[in-house]
Amino acid sequence: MWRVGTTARLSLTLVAALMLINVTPARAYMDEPMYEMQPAMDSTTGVATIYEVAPNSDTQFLDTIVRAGAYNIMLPGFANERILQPIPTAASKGSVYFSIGRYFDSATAARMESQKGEAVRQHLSSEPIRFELNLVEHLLADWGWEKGAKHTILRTRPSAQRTPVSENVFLRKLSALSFFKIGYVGQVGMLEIFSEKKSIEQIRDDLEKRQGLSGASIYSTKVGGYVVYSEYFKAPRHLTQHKFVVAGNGKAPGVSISGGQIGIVVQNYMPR
Amino acid sequence: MKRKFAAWLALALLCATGLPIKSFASARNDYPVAGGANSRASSTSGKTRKAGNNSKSDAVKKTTAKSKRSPKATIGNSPFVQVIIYDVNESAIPNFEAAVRSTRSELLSNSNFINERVLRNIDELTVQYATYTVFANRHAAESFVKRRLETVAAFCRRAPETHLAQLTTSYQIDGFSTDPTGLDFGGDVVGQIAHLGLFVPFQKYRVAYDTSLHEVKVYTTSRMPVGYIGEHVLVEADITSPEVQNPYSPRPFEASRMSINYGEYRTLENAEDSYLARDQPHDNPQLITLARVFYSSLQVPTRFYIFQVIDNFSNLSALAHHRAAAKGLGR
Repeated sequence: MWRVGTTARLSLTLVAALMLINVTPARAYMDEPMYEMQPAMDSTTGVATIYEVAPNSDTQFLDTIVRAGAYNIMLPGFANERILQPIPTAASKGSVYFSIGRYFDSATAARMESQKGEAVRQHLSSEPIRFELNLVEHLLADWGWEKGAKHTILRTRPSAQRTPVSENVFLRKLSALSFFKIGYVGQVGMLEIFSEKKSIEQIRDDLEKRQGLSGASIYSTKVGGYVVYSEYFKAPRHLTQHKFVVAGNGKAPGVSISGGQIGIVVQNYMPR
Repeated sequence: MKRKFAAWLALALLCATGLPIKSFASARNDYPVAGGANSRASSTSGKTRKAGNNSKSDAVKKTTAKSKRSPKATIGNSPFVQVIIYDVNESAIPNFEAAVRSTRSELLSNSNFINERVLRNIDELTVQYATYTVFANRHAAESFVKRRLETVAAFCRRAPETHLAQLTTSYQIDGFSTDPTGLDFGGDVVGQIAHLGLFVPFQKYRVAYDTSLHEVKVYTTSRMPVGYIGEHVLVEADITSPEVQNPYSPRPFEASRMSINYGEYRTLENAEDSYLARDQPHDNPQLITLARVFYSSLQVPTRFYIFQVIDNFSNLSALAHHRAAAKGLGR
């Protein structure tokens, strides 16, 4: 018969007592924004839109596009929209704004984008150029830029299967997550349009070399090629040399537009 | 005997695995102390600055995770803050910084000046700055802003966005104070990350908004996040028309007082880690309720800027004067 000696019992009691003294009950942290960031990551339908805003209409454009958008609607199919204004140091200045909308289904995306397009038309110099997108993957950087070290890039995409805890970016510190933070404005973002000639491996390679990257979402388009939306903690200065190149009359999205442009995020919201 | 041993073993295992163990030691060791070895100097003056006192109000109160007391409804003699956001011409950066510095001696000679932080967007491509200037009274704050705007006007792409607000609450690792001094955290340390949040709640839901914001701040500080320096919550001094309050962003539906949040962290990584509880369960439905109350009470999307502190200076005699005045009024 297995007998537990006094020493063993005292030891177990001491261990239990020490653990009780140092224990803190699981605490709910009411400031964690997981519920707002996870949809931004999990949404697989995107819409990228390029707007040429009429002179002196910037504030009216922003006012109208937000009021006409999903901010004031309880819309389950909408995750996040970011609107970016021209950056003062960019090669392409003027009033070319662009936006990236994240949705859970194409029907909601089409309805909201059509609604916004109608509303803001009065503030534009030309028709907006729109790309309907499907998410391929996200790239997320770690904090190497802040530590003066080379960053590590994590590739992730939403999965129909339950993500193991060890691979879940919201449960383990695998990367920075500022790329999905709602409400954060003032950071530099970039929209780039690639034809089929550029492979996804080349796109990943180029993005991963950009020190100061916060994150990037790579999307495929219906007309072929890729569209990339990226954000930066500190954008490489050479990105200011890029600009959108419009071929022909610019009325065929994904075909007549190429290149890319950086901007400053001025609006970044989910449904309130 | 076997049953007794199994019971003891089960108790030990329950303690080891059923409840998480939290160590505060590393958090405290990493907490930056103004003037200590953790302070970094990278000011626009180019001098390494010895950090001053990180004065705390005598009214700093210890709080527990269960404290849900709302901030004071009235804010009496709390300091006023001019919050200004500047969009600078790229070619005029040195001139702009010099212009801001040129007002420093004037501020320091003003007995009602308490502290100024000069902030620069962490991405210099944006050419965006902000100042957070604390005064003992409203008149001093209003007189200053005219002088500052005149000084920098030629170097900005557009008229700066300005907000006159009053401090309601300060938050630090060891609690919060409803009697903030304006010198509640950070000393005169530079190089730290600063976040500036601008929120416009509906007036009707102001109490719900303020309560939920306070709950969030109390829980943030109770976690003792690594690298957390401190925060201020402010309320705009006047009910302001949408156009004046939001000159370059979507207009609220009604005139209101903006809610402003200014906080500092040692690094941006520390700031992100303070709000991401990766290692905790995410199954508390009250979290969703709190977040919904907060965000649903807003008229327009939040704007949350990330800056780095590039200058930070204080007038300690103004602080002493302010405290004496507050004592004279029996506060």
